Amino acid sequence: MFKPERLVRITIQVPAQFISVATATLARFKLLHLVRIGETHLGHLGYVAETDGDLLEEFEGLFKGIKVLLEALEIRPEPVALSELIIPEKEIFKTRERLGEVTQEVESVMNDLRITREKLLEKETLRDKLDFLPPDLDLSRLLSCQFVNWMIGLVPARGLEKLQESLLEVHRAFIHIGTLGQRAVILVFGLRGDWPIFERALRGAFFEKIEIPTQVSGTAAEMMENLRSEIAELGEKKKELSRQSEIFQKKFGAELLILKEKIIQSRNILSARRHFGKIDKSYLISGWIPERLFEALKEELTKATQGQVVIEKVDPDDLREVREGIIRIPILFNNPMLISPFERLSGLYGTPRYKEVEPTIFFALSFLLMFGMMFGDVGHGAVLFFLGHLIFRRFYKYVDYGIILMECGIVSALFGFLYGSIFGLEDVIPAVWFRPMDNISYFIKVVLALGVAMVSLGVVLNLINALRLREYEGLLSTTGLAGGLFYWALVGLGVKYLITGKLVPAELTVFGWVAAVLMTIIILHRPLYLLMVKKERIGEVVKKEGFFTEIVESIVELFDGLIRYVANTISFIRVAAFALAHAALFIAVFSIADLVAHEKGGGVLYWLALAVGNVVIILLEGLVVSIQAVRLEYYEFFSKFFRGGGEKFRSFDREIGSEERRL
Amino acid sequence: MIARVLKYSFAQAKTRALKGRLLSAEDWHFLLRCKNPEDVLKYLSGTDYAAALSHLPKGKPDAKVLSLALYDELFRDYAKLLKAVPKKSSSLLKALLSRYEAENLKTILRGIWEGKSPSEIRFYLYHLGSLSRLPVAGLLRVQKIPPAIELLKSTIFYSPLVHALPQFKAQGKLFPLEVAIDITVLGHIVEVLKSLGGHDRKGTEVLIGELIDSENLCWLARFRHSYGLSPEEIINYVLPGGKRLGIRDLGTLARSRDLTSFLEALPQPYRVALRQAKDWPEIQPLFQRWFLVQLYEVFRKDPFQIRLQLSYLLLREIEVKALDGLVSALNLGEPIEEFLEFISLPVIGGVRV
Repeated sequence: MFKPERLVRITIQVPAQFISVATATLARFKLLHLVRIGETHLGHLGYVAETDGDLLEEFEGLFKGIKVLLEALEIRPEPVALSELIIPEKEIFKTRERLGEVTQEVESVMNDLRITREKLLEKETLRDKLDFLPPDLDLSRLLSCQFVNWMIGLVPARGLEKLQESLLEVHRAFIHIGTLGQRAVILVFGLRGDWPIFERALRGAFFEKIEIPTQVSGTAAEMMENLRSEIAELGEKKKELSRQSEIFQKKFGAELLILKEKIIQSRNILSARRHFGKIDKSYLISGWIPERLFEALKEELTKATQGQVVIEKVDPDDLREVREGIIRIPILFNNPMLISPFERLSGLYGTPRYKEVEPTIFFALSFLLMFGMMFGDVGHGAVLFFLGHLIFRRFYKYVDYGIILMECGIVSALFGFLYGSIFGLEDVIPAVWFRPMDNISYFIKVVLALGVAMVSLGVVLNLINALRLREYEGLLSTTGLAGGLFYWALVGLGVKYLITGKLVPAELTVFGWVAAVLMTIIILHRPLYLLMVKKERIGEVVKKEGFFTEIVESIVELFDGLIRYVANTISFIRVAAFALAHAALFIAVFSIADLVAHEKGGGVLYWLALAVGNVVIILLEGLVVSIQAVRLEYYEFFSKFFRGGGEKFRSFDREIGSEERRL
Repeated sequence: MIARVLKYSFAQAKTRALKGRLLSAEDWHFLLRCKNPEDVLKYLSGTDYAAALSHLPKGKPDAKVLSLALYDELFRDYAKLLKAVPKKSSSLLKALLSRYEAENLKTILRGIWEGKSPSEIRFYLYHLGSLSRLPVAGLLRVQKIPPAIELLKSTIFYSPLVHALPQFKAQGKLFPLEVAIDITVLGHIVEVLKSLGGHDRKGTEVLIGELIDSENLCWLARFRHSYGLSPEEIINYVLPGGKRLGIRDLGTLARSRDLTSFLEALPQPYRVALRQAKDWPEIQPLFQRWFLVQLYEVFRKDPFQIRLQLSYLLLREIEVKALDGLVSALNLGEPIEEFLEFISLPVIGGVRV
């Protein structure tokens, strides 16, 4: 949890006839970060494997086909776990046959449904367009006109004036009978002899003719009646076809999702072969896997290839390229389910290096704590929890955000009990701890203590990182142990003053001496490092080029660093500020509700104002508080210890997926 | 006034600096003496265009590549001024720039219509980069016009193109869609102008009105002379919002029997400006020469308004178009005198050729 998963570099050599089963086994393991042989020395020598392009293309075709089928049957995508071994060369036959059978069975109903929907839409659009006709307009008489031509249709409303101008020199009747969106519905009459002019003008005006059914007779009202009955008939037909579609959905839904997953995996396996190398009749696969999985993978591969596989494991520390920093070991997080969603947020700041402390757990806990403190309300917490639960259950792509929201909801509700607040009402439940608005100065002390704890944790994590990465020079700097001790001494002095209200001169003297020693160490940290760790002679160190510049830089860094400690700590006051803003917003909402309560229908308005106010607070304040919590994490906490520059572990399927997108 | 001065002080200084880098009469004198496009390229590499032209491949320049590179300089100026002017007024410059977005859209639709490959179409597009909000990548992936229009939902072109689709289907040609795009983009400039406040709106109204008049006159001449369209159709393709030419005037002009009656029907000062026109194609360069004077006039007036930036960008545009025309003429081996008849050089007082 505090460290990324321990990885080893593996190299697999497998005969060509076993490459399908070997790739399938790797695909099932998923946790393999492939290394492209093409980018290694073997790749440069041309030992790069090729994949079966035709087979891959066929899977692409099947993927498109199944997507169309899933969409037509309105089957929601859901994650599917496959337990069997996928061998693309075999799978293509099975999938093709089964997909063909399903398509044949559902095709006619789906086509009928599509055509009915289209017809229905067409008729409904025509109904909307003709709805403007005067009901008593006798269409039979219009259709039998001998000397006059007419047309009904739509033109952009802005073009009406131009259309009128263009027909200025001919006899015309021009009736604007309604507006549909940005267009005007018009009825135009003109003499048959002038009709070519009308056609040209209407063409220029982007006129869209509305076709009146030729067999129509009687008035516009009668025509509309016929149209409505046709729509009703089509509606019935659509309902029946949809019912049949639902039956298919239940019958084939799960099976189609499995087929889709098999196609995706087959595609991934085939694409993965682009990463492999090939020497004569052997394939070469290289990558990183968690050490704990190595034996299991070896066993599975040996079984699958009848012992015809050679697997080598190399510890990262034994790799020269790793030691020299030429290649980086990918980072595979191993956080528990409730913490892992926060990897998305901590990952936005950067990816830690392999030997760095993995900060997600600290991020998650402190984020939740700060969120709860700023957004403490039982009611709002419950709403957030249910929103998160809804996302968790319904939108599987956003499961991580659902979990984060649920956790935020729980801590928010917890702090709601501590503050005694439920939907802003402070007289319903007692405050287990205190009410923020009544204890502002106490609250500020609490968040300052939180700030000290967070900054101190940052310093400790920085020390651990420095030791793990062997950056000993940093231990004596402002951000290292020396700076940390200075900060803690200052904090100790501050706490003593807050508790007793006074400081003894002896304490100040001791602090002064400690501060002087630590500041001297910080300023001279570079020469001290050279003397003590690198065992250089004092004369050499002093004579080095840039010695005095470094001293001056250290002095500037010292003051910058010390001010930063104070600023980082004080920045946590925003936790209290936003918690108070949360409470203040409630006061505003209740004031508005009280105001409208005196109006007519005040009872309803009162509750409406409260409901709307609460929704606004949840949305607005929820967003602001999240941003502030993330900000505190990144700027005040992460900046103390996080180095970054690591590479994320890309599991077998993700790696191939991203490769596909690039191609 | 003080607020305006504060808001525009940097922008006006920047604009004046940019104006100082426009090609001078002396530059044009030498450019017009160039014998081939390579010479033009060589001369321009010693001017402000050097940066834009430095990316060109070595050897004889392709006419289209060179033309697009010249426009890059114009778009660079747009980017600079968009950053310099107040946010609200920048919408007008963006609207002005969207004429090139419209050109790109027309090119894409034409490419799709002619079944060209995405790379072929992309070759002909202006390099607007982040200045454009067109979903170019998506548009290049589709193979039919209706789905391409569906991708434009978030742009100003969507509704007009949807409305023009029935005519496109009925006529079986792109013309209705292209006209719809042109009308939309110029109409958008007029709309944005209305949303500006106080001095910015008042100061720019005249300039934009004259720009619209210019477009309307060119369209009238082109539709009539080149496309042979009837007056009743042409009237529907003109744009309201001009300074001196309302719909009624444009209707009269569209219905005029010949060039003489066309010129007589023009209001002043356009009648005087265009009186030398002997044929329809001369209307555009003559009007542009008159418009050029109006653009330069702006630099003598109150500079703390968006019209200063607008004038500069239009001047730069005329300059780029003139250079583009010069390169094309040299490529085709046309005599320089013929080129000068159909182009206006953005230099007051003329050029000694």
